[in-house]
Formats: sequence, structure tokens, C-alpha cells
Amino acid sequence: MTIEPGATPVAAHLLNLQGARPSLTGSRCTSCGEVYFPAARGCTRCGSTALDACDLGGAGRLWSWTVQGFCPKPPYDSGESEHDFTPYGVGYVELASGLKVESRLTVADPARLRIGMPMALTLQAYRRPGAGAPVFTFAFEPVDTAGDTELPQ
Amino acid sequence: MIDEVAIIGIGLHPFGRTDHLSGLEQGAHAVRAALQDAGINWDAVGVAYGGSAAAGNADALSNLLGLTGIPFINVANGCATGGSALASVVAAIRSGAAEIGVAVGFDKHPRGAFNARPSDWGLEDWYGQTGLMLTTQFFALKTQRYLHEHGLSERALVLAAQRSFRHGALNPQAWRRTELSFAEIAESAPVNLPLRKYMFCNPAEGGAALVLCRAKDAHKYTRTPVLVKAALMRTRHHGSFEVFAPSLAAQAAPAPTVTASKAAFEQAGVAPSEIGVIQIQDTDSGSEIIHMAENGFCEHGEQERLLERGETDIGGRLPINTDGGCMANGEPIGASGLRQVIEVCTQLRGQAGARQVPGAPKLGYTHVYGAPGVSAVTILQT
Repeated sequence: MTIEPGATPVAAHLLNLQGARPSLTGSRCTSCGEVYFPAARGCTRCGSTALDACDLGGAGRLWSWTVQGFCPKPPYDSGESEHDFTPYGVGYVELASGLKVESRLTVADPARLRIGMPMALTLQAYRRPGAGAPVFTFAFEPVDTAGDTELPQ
Repeated sequence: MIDEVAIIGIGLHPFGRTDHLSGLEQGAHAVRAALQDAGINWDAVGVAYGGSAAAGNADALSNLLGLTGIPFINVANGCATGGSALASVVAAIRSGAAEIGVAVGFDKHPRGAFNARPSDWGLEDWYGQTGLMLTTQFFALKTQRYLHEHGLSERALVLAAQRSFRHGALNPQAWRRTELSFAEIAESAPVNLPLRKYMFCNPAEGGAALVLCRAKDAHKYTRTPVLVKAALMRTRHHGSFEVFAPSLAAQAAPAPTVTASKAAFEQAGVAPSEIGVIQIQDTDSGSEIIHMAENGFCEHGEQERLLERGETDIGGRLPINTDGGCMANGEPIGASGLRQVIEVCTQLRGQAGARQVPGAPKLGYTHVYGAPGVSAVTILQT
């Protein structure tokens, strides 16, 4: 997916955009090794507050999915209304660490989604053009349709 | 031996839409009805706990009921508000802090899905901005995974919804009193697949209240006291799959429903097989199916067969949501848990009319679940 120049991430700390493909940034507990997304300040498993930033990668398998069939109320800020809303996919993707990350999916067609299918992280301009400053977020796409991701300059 | 506590009065403001009454006024209506049922006045009440999610502070009910100076404690536990209020009143009566207590829940929500603010739940703004913070999504994602893991089909979701509306049609106080056909549910608009329009409850309005006292004093007020054998709430553990979770830990943990249910059965000293009437949280028919097993009433994956055979109907082995549940009554968050308790009391008293469970059930069960991973359970006995 091409992200238009000047677009900014909805939250810069979630993503590592330095590599050839984007990856997610989370944290890892230095005491028990548990990983978190987004980065956590405290470990809910062991109670430690010593966590380091860690790269969670961008590859995984679809663990569950749904299609958002109605336009969410605010704070959803895509700029859409119920009249021009386009349904979007939502799923949990299981990463190599076993952590399952909730994410928008680039696919909203139930026929193209199945639990266990390989998925790759990409970027998605989720705000309707003209609805304010262009913003992108992370999303997962099925690997069989995954193309090169062009990062914003 | 800890003093037992009994419910001596029940009162409901019917759920649905009541445009001319505020949520608080519907709560006051419910308290007055419960006091009348117990045959007492508000000035006899020594302690009250209550709450709403979106209709104001419960202690403001004193402005409508009477300024008697009692401790009136506001409870804000989302879907577990009613259950937490009830557990608190039971503890207060047992401790000797009061002889008579009131638990009350009420609410009034705008139409359409709930829109939570991330910061209220300790979450970052992007989670709401990008369209991931919806309760309906969670119910769909948990249901989708559950169907996959336990070999259930979407047919089970239709059957559960159909049964709820069938029960609602028998309840003169229900909001939705029309039965729906299999096709009407199965072909209704997708909301969050695999869940469709008629598989979800709607945010609504209503009030529910209970009056309680020590069991040994209960016969002064009523011929039909209902003993609270267990009333407790639990929160989630690390690794359980909950509403408003941007990620899930690698190693799964049981849901708070499972821990609350186990603790309640242990406290009451009874087994799931002994329960004669069951109310479980059915924000959607997927959740109901999951909760059937999480509360110990069947094995995971057994639900579709039980639904097919009518086992969860009023005449079945596991009569579930006999008043139509959230599906037929709607969901005023603060009030739903106590509506369930009122329905079980009505059934145990043998006063449920056309929807009465046959065979004079002696034990009933209620369960709620909600954000951000809380559950409240009661076990009641006549």
C-alpha cells in the first residue's frame, strides 16, 4: 500500500519503519520475559516494572477475525459517516512470540479470511481523504496478496 | 456459621425505552417496587449500594426516595455493577452494619453500540481512533475463535437467539416480545461476523432493585424469602481473552467467568447439575454459548446439540434466560445483573406465569460478564 507523502502515523511509538518492511514495537519484561503490545510500563504477569522496548516483527497467522459492519461512533476518526462507511476487517494475529495482536485487516471479505492463514504487517491510510490530516495505522494483510510496502518519506 | 442473608423484596422498572423517565427515576421506581414487595418503607433501610454506567450516581436516588442519612455507596463495576452491589449489601448485613439493605442498578443508554473512551480504560487513544475499541468486535472475535476451536457452527448462534426471543415472547415485561424465525435471524444484517443483527442485544434503559435482610428475620417480611447462597465478583487474570485488549498473552488463562463461577459453586456447596433455573450474560448469542460452558453447565462444544434438542428451553434440562435475557430485554448496564436475580427469585417463588419453569426449582444461578474483564455470579435458593 502506498502511503501519501506527509502522512503521519496515528501513534509513532507503535511502529518501526526503519527496515524494508514495517514491524511492531512493544516491550519485554526483563524479569519474566513476557512481551507486550503496545509497550507496557508494568508486567501484569509478574508485577515487575522493568521492561525494555522490543521489536515484535510483522509476520504471523490469523488467530481470529471479524468484519466491522457498522461505522463506529467517535473516538473513531476515519471521517466516515454511516452513509459512506466501508466495512473493514479486524483480527488477532499470532506473532512468532505467541503474542496475539489486535489489528485492522486489509481484507474485509469473509471468503478471503480463515483462521491460521499467514499474515504480514503493512500500513493503512484509514482516514477518508479530505477528512483532516492524512494518517496511517498498522494493518495485517494475507501473505498471498502482500505486496511491497512503500514507507512514507 | 456465617449468618445467611435473604432477598425479601424485588422490584423492576421494565427494560426498554421510557422516554419520559430519567435513568435515576427508573431506579427509584424499582426501589419503591422492591420496598412495597417487602412491605417496608425507605426509612427502614440501613444501607444501600447501587450504580449505573451512564445515568448518574445511585446515591442521588436519596433525593427521590427520602433523605434518611444512611450510607449509600456508589458502585461502578460496569456489567458487574448489580452483582457487586448485591455482594456488598450481603457483606454489610452479615457484618452487622445494617439490618436491612438495598441493592439497586439502573441505566439509560443512547441508541447504538457503546463508544468507550480509551483513557477511561487505561488504553491509548489510537486504539479508539483506528476503530478497534468496540465491544461488538470483541464478542465476534471471541465467538469466531470459539466456534473454530470447539467445532460449532453458526447454526448454534441462530438457535440461541431464537430461544431467547421465544422466552421473551412469554414475558409480559420484556422489551422484545416477538418470536423470530430461524431465517430472520440467520439472514439478518451482518454486524460483526459471525454475529448478525438479531444475535445482539441492544443498549436500553431500566431499573432493578432488591431488599435484603438476615435470613432468620426474613419471615417477618415475606412468605417467600430467597437465600443468597453465593454472590461474588471476580476480575481477569493475566492471559485471559477480554474486552478492550489490544493484545493477548501467548499463554491463555481462564476467563473471570470461570473463576467467579467456581468460587460461587464452592461457596454455595452445590454443583451445576443441581441448578434448576439459569440466567447467563447474553450480550450476544455467541457469548451465551461460551458462557454456558464457562459457568460449568455443559462441556465446550456441546452447546449446539443442547440447543437443537431444546435443553435450554423453559421445559428443558437447563432452562436458560427464562425472561428472554439481554436479547429480549435490552442492556441497561447497571441494571442487568439485578434483573437476572429478580427473574430467578420470581421463578423460585413460582410466580413466573407463562414462563414458569416446571417442577418448582429450588436453586437458581445468575451470571454477568463485561468490560474490561469482570464477572459476577450469584447462587440463590428457596
